[in-house]
Amino acid sequence: MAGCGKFIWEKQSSMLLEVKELHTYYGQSHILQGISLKVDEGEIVALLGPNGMGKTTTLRSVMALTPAKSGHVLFKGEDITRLHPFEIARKGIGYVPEDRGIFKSLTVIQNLRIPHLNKGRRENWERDREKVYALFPILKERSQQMAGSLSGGEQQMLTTARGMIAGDHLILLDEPTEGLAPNIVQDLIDSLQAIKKQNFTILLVEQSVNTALEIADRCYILEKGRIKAQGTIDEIRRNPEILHQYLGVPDEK
Amino acid sequence: MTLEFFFMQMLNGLTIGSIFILLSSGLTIVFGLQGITNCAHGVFYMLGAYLAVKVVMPLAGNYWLALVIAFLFNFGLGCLMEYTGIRFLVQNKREGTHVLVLTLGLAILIRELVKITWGAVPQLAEAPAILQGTLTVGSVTYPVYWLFVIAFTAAIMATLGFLFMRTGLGILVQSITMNSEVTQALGTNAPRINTAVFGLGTGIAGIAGVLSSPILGVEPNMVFDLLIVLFVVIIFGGLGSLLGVVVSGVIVGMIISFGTALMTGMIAKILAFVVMIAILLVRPLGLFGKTGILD
Repeated sequence: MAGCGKFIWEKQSSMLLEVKELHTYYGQSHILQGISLKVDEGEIVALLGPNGMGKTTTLRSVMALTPAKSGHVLFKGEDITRLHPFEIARKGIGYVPEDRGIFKSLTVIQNLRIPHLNKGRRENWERDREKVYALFPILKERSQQMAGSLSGGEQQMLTTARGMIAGDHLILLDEPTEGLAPNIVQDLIDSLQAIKKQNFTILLVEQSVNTALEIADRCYILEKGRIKAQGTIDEIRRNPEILHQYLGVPDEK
Repeated sequence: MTLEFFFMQMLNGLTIGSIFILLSSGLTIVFGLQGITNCAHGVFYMLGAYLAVKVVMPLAGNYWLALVIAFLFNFGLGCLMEYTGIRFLVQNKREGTHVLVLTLGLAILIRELVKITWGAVPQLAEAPAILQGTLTVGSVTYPVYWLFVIAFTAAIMATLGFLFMRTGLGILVQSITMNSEVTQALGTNAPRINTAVFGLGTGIAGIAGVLSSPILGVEPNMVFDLLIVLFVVIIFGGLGSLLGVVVSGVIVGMIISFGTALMTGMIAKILAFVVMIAILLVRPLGLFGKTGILD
């Protein structure tokens, strides 16, 4: 089966995020050339592809950090394309940036409080906080420490936990395993699976195909600003030449 | 140099240092938040003084009311300036020269308007009756008003410190300084906070204008008089750092005070520059400067 492997499936559950024909530019450079994808509630969807092809830009366009020129983004059925980033975040999308985006001169607990401060009084701080502490006990241990003093893996936990507090219940994760040692990566994968069990939906941008295969339900393959292939993990596993064609030879697990 | 002279100059240095601190705090925080240099900051200082001396005192005779009105008026005007002009430029990535030129132009415009309205003759205001007079400690005699200025400044800075270090809003402000994009992606309404903090800084500048009217006088050139010294203070202290502004404000105040008394005002200002350059050679970001703001 050569060429563009495009698989179609039917899902009964509701669509949390829908991206339609997104076009985004950096100056004159046409980075996203009509990206369409969707994420259903409770899924982990991975966005794969070589670097510099628009994966991060896709997440940034959903958050309007790099606003799209045309196209639509719908969250829970509502068109959020033209909103400001802070408005989009407050709708319930948790953003976990590449490079982690930790506020190094603030403490761990202050970092965690930021999305909560923006959510308003109706939300329960203790409940949110205990939820992330249960998943990442090291954050509770280091809660009064400066975030800049945390190790790489701990910083990734912090930024993920912060995204969990912001997200209701969608989290956008940009390259979470980048620069982490393999055993830390495994811990992170376990955490993501635990997060999924807590009713979170995750759209994951990943460089590492193996990580994606381990936790995602479905994936899209993005190359040169377009979606070239998509499918469930089973479908991808049954047709590994797809991965070979777009991403290089994957390790067989 | 007698001991009395020394203590007198120290107090003088602390007093004008207080004015520098109040004026610089608004400038430095706004630079930390949005990377802009507001050359019109002196406008609010001047308007505060003129409002007190030409409007509130003649009509109501109440110095404390003048302080309140100076703050509120300049807070409002500052928010307006940020919202209409500066925000637009910042969002279109034109922070640097464009904001400089815009604020400079506004400053000149408003200075000329004030000249037309109230004349250009410098005047010295009168301190309120309750603060007039002197206090004698040992063999040194201090004007009570100076002590009031120092104490009032300390109170304002303590309040600001509490606001930025201990409240939720303060954490959000700090986060904008460190990474405006990421904190907005976490729901922080940075545009609105930037406007409010800008107004806070200009409101405090208005208070500084009222406070300094009996000491440094009131005239249209207040707009630009201190601007050079203020930039020395904020660079010396480290851009974006309130603590830096407090420390360097005191030091620069001392330099100006002793320098002016022992030599001339001009030499004092040059000396302040020299000290600033010396510090920058050792600590390129200023005393308490943080990396990241200048990125």
